[in-house]
Amino acid sequence: MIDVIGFLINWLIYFAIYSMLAITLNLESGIGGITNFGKVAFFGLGAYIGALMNTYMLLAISGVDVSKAPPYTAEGVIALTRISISNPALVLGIFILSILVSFTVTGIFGYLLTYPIIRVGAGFVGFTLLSIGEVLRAIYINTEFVGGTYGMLGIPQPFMWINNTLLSNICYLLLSISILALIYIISHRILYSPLGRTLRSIRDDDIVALCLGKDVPKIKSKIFFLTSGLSGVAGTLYASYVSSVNPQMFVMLVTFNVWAMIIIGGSESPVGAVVGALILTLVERLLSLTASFYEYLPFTSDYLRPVIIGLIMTIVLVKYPRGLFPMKPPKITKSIVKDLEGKIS
Amino acid sequence: MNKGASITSGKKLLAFVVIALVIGLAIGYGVGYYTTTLSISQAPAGAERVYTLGVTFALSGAVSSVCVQWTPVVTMAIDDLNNLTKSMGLNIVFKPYILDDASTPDGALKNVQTLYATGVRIVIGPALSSQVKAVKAFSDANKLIIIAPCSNSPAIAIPDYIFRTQPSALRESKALATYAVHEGIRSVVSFHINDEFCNVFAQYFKKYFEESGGSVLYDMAYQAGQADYGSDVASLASWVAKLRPNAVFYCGYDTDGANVLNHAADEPVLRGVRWLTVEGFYGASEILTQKIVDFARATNIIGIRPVPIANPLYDEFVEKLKKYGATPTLCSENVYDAVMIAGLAVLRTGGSSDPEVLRRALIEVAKTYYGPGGWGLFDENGDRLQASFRLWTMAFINGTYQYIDIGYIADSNIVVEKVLG
Amino acid sequence: MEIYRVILCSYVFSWIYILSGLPLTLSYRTTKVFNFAHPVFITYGAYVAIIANEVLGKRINLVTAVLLAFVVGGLVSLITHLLVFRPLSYQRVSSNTYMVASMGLWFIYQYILYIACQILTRKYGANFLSYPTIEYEDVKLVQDALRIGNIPQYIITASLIGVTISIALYILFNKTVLGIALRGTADNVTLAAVSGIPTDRLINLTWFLVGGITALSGVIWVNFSGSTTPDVGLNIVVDNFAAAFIGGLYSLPITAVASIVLALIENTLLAVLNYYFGVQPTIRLAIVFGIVFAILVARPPAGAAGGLPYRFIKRVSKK
Repeated sequence: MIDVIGFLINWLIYFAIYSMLAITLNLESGIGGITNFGKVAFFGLGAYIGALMNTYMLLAISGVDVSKAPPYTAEGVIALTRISISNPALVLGIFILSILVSFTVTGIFGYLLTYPIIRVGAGFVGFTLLSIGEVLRAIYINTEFVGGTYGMLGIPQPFMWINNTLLSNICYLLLSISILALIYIISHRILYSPLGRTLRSIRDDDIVALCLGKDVPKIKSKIFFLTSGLSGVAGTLYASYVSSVNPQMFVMLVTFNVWAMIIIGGSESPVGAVVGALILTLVERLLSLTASFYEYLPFTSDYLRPVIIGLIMTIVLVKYPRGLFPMKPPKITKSIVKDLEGKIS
Repeated sequence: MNKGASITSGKKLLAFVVIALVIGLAIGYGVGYYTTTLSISQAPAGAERVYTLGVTFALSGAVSSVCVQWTPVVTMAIDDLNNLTKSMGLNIVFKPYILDDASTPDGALKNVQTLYATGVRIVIGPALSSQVKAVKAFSDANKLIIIAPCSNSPAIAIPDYIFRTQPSALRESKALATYAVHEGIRSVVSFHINDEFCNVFAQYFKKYFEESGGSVLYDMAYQAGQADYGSDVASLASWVAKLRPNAVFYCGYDTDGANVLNHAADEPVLRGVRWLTVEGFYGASEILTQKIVDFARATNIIGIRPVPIANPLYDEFVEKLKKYGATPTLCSENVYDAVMIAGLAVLRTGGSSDPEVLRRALIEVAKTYYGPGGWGLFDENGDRLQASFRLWTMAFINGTYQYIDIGYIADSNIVVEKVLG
Repeated sequence: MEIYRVILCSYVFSWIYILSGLPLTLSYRTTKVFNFAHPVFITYGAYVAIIANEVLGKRINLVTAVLLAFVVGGLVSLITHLLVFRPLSYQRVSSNTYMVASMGLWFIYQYILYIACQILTRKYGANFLSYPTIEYEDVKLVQDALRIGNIPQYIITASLIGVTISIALYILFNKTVLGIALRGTADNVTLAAVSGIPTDRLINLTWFLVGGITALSGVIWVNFSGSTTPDVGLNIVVDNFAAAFIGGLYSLPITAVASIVLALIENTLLAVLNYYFGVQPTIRLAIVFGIVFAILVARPPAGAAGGLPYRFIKRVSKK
């Protein structure tokens, strides 16, 4: 018997986190034209910031000597578990603070990267950002303070103090879904606003936009600040959910999985991003459930899972190259017509 | 406009059909599972009850070459368990549910969540310590028993629902340090993969070796996941030429180990020192080449591994494994012991799914379990205790290149049974 | 400092990166597609040699391996193009779509290889997921004949394949009509088609060559490395992309030079840093990517899509 509720909760939290990444990627790449192949850099940075704050700060404030029991050793982890169960206000407070800090720091990091992005030009932005992702990962591996290759462990889930596992998971799910909804609304509002139209014009031809007087570098940096910050928030949520971070979790493949989500879903609208995330995360889990169907194959049946996912990806794209939910042209409402008429006359 | 609308709705229709198909598949599986495998407590007397043990191994990705050799071990252990239940007249049948986590912590967590959702209450795996850390929170929250066969990280030596059949690196490193001092080795250069398993060994070896009066002159860690380590080996050779240690301490797995040893065999400087190693690449067939075995004999490389002395169960294990088309490799005896201990615990509780009951049964069963990996006894953190270790090397014997055990260490007693030229 | 072996490694890696990086630039130039399945060509080339080695009873010639790998790599590449890229190109899609479609293909190819390895391991006994070095019989004969047995075999293999392919490519692209037609198709498909060049067939040929040449780097690899795994393509392709991007995704000579420079950085520079400055080799990737990042930002490649408008504008005036 399948525990449907448990399955759904676990899947939906992953879905929420990946949707956040997909929506922000869609905003910067599908709409803004910044081909970001380094998404995982911001995701990882947010995860590590969340991990650092939720462990070191928690231990330090509770009076544990961090140099003797750093959060990547057993003593630190035991201390963390003890504190997180007994001090809900502190844990929640630090969690909220870590989300804000993660948004700011990752956002600023993205903002600072806009200089190289603009300098290298549209075709090379992707690879430039990818290199940053790998450099960051190498920094994590070589820094003992963040756990090095060992990574960090014991990051408290902010609702851990609730005795009932189901309830605490549902709370975390609700939190993730609300942040997802917020990000979706922000993305939707930007898309259908003058800023959205400017972004699309920059995506299509930034020289023309420049000639029309749009401050292209500034707009790109503003958008990149926003999307990087939100990716950082997704990273913090992820770190608290998995309760451990490790440099191996933030490899290039993560970025390309998110890319697959937005391309398959439709790269021009947040709906497409969410649908893509839904399909890819769900299909992967459902296929694991069916692994034991094929017991009598001469090889491990779970090898077929990526083959089937690859087939679905390829076939869907060959049939629907613009994705399953490409953006429809925006509705020309009466107010827009009046607005335009006013401007013309 | 109309055509646009029909194309869009056609696409939506296809999307829903695809999603529905996949969901339908899963529901079909769920129904099938329910109707064919009754939950233990509801099974009527006389019906065959199936108990599923979950397995999450890294069957693709970085450590896949080791984990694919574990799957036949799991099959063998399950067969042994089922033979046992048949001979005891019980109608419980064990089944493995094997998933691939691609050597990633994320994959391990997803697999464990999926396994738990299908009702599995004991999971064998994952392989890497980083993966065990990623599943710890889920295991704690849901009281899911996880038996990791190859993790030695001290950071997870915590009393919880995670058990490890790999003995801690502490004792093993100490034994190796004792052997090194006994062999007259006073200075060592340490060379290892930058990964938790080997970093822990290097760290403890250094600690105990320096406590006994030796010194580790230089420690060099090479990055995991690279294709080739030729230049790192050349750097090692430079350091060895400069610092002139008595020995090189090496820790690496089979793929990087074969790469490193193959390059080291070309360096005369590295042939001129002794080499010490742990069980990282034990059993790997790609290392049994003429070039590397020559190098092994020239450097008199001695490894240590946590299989106890005089264990006929281990020899039996190796023989039986041949019928399943596999040879023993890193931690394969731990995999076997993990599955056996899990199965025996299930039998002891009569097929229970209660985590507390299972956990207590596991601890009890382990106290009296002795398998190819030795005594199953767990310490208070759920990690295996191990008292004696085997010394091994590679040689050309009776016409084949092979791994052979040449002696053992128990506490500080070192016995060398074979001396090879 | 023991520099000899480091130089040897740099040399082999230069050829490996050139043989897998040049086709990447070529494929991008012709089709403007980021082919995510590129690592598969390398891996399949290596595994063709491995499987042939096992089937022939562990005795294999370089010539056999090269021919088989070239054909298999070329066919896999061609099938990729015919089944996926060509249908997509008829629909005028964005380049990201190609990229994700090729990513789907990569999953398929990679895991089919894992399945094949598992079945073959059961049949032949050797661990196909970590296969030891392959010695080529005919190269050994050449070594014995010329009495250069003390030079590692992989140097000779890499030199033979590398030099032959380089000369062949040079002659092809500069001296033959076919080659000039290929270059024309790569630069401007429409103009080429209008001039009467059968562009469809030439693009097919380009894909075949891309896959075939890349597979040859796998053939060198199995001769060089103590263990070959299915991840070998992924590890190498990272540097290929770096070299291709430094070459602006356009220039073949700069890609080749960048490949050599990357091989030198990864091997020689890091060995020097380690010996004289105590830098641990764990930051190898950081240094490689850091240098790539620095090169891209300092001198953005003009050509395919360089950052032209902003190089000469100091301040965008606001209205």
